[in-house]
Amino acid sequence: MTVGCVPKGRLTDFVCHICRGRQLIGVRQKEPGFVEFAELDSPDELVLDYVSTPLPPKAFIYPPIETLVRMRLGTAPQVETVLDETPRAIVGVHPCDLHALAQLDVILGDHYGDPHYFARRQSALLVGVDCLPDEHCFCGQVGTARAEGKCDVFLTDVGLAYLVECWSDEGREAVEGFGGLEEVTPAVLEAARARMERKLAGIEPRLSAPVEMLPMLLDGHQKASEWEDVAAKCVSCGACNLVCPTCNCFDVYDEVALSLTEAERKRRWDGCMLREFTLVAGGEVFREGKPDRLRHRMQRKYNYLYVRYGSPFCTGCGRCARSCPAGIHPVSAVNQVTASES
Amino acid sequence: MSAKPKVAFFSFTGCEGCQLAVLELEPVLLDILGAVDIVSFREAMTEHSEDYEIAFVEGSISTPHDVEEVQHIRQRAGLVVAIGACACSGGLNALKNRRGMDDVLQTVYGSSGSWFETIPARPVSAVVPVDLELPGCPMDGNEFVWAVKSLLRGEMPKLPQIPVCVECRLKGNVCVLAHKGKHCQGPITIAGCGAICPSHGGHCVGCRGYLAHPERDAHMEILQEHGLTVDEVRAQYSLFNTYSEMAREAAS
Ligand code: SF4
Ligand code: SF4
Ligand code: SF4
Ligand code: SF4
Repeated sequence: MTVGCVPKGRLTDFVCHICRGRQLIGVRQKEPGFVEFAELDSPDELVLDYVSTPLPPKAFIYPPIETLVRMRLGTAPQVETVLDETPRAIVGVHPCDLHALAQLDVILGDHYGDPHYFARRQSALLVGVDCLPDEHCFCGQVGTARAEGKCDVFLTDVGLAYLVECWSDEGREAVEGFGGLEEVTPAVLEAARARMERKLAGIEPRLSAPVEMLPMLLDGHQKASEWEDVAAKCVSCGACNLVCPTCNCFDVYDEVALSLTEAERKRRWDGCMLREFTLVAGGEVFREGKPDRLRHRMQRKYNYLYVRYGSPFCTGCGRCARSCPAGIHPVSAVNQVTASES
Repeated sequence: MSAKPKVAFFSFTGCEGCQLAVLELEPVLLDILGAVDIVSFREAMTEHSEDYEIAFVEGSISTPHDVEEVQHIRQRAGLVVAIGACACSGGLNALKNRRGMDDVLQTVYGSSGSWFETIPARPVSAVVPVDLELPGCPMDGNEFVWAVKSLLRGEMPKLPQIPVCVECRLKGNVCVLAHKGKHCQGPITIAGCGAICPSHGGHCVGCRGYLAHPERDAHMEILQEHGLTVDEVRAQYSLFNTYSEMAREAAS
């Protein structure tokens, strides 16, 4: 639902208003040429016109390292589940990253549900913002360029103002009472439409086959040897997993206090491109070579999870491609392998 | 293991920075002292005892006398833990190994060179069996505490065989290899330092030693694309890892 326009000069007031009573997470300058999601000291730091961040906003719902349970050891052991229900507002989330959170909801909600994830997720107000792509983005080809309904409040840059849409009751409540909203004129709607057009036009059509075809095409390329060429320069650094907004694998470990009477069970993001990830009890490594690991990662993104949950588990955010020291782009990898004879 | 294991620290060729790293653990140092009985520690105490269960050994082995002494330690200690780059991989000291030992003595001691004995610097594990290695220049204090806690529980700690890049990415760092043209060795180096160098404007030079299964060829190729020659890449790998690099060269 479109509710009005915030003139850019009032943006800070608007953000203060909708985030009242919440920890403010937003995009800010990190170092020259790079921005990041972080807890902001002031809404003045907020940057809404940006392309991408090293880590996705997922990091504030599903942190890189988190404590799952605290334990008191000894004769009467106690276990306490740690749930973080801090009310947060995450401001400046792009449509691809909103889709990613929706996909995490699905995969982490499957079976038993992940209480740690959902505690933060349900406590967070998501404020999305529209964007323009760079050469690595391909949201337009995996169906994530628009994110209607996937956040509470959505902002679109319409020149001198932001168009404000509320897509949830929480979003409406958050915006309610803000005095500075201006009327949405036909010119504003036209500007928003033109902006989306510009975004879509700016996305290089990288994928050679329609995304719907990928599960079928990839089924024919299950041999690790077919992925050797595309993986040749991979250093198995795991960056592509660790920066991905939809990757959700983790490693669990315990940290015991020196007194040996207290301990914390923690988890840390993990990734299938790391050799150790595929090391199991008994010393067996079930995906020994990097071609096999890259094959698996691509199959997960564009085949297995697609078939299982109905959408590709890649939002086209381009982070893996931007981060890869070997310059491996998932779309180029998929194009190259699916174009070859199986 | 008894409630309070007797622990000793020994130092061979190195800067004793790893012992300092232990002393710098001030916030938890008292807790450590409460949990173990330190019977020998040159940086911090003058007493010395020959009765110990865990020997933490710092420094590389670079004289015939070092060899004898570390063998003696091995015989007395139940567990030998190598701490720091010098003890785990030979460290910077092994840079001399590419030169003749006479040449090295001459350079350092001039005409008095013949008064001293030296051998190519080597990690402790090249001389005696080592139960655990805590690498890094210097050793990471947090990792040391983590290892001590495991040992106190009677478990042998196992360092994850994951690259420094994992810790670097989890911090949300901008990759200096992908984006800043630095010759970072994070992808092939064992994590555990919290990616401290790339987190503070530097790049990883491999002080913690290389993974058991490093993607060395791919990493070399990337550095060559950054403009380095093969020899220049090898020189970079040799900064902290001359000992293993020379072993590689000998084997190939
Ligand atoms: S696979 Fe790459 S492009 Fe796709 S969502 Fe993950 S990081 Fe983004
Ligand atoms: S980021 Fe690139 S080099 Fe690193 S594991 Fe992924 S594909 Fe390999
Ligand atoms: S800066 Fe170095 S350690 Fe960090 S991710 Fe890049 S290559 Fe790895
Ligand atoms: S980043 Fe590399 S060089 Fe720096 S401390 Fe860690 S392992 Fe050593």
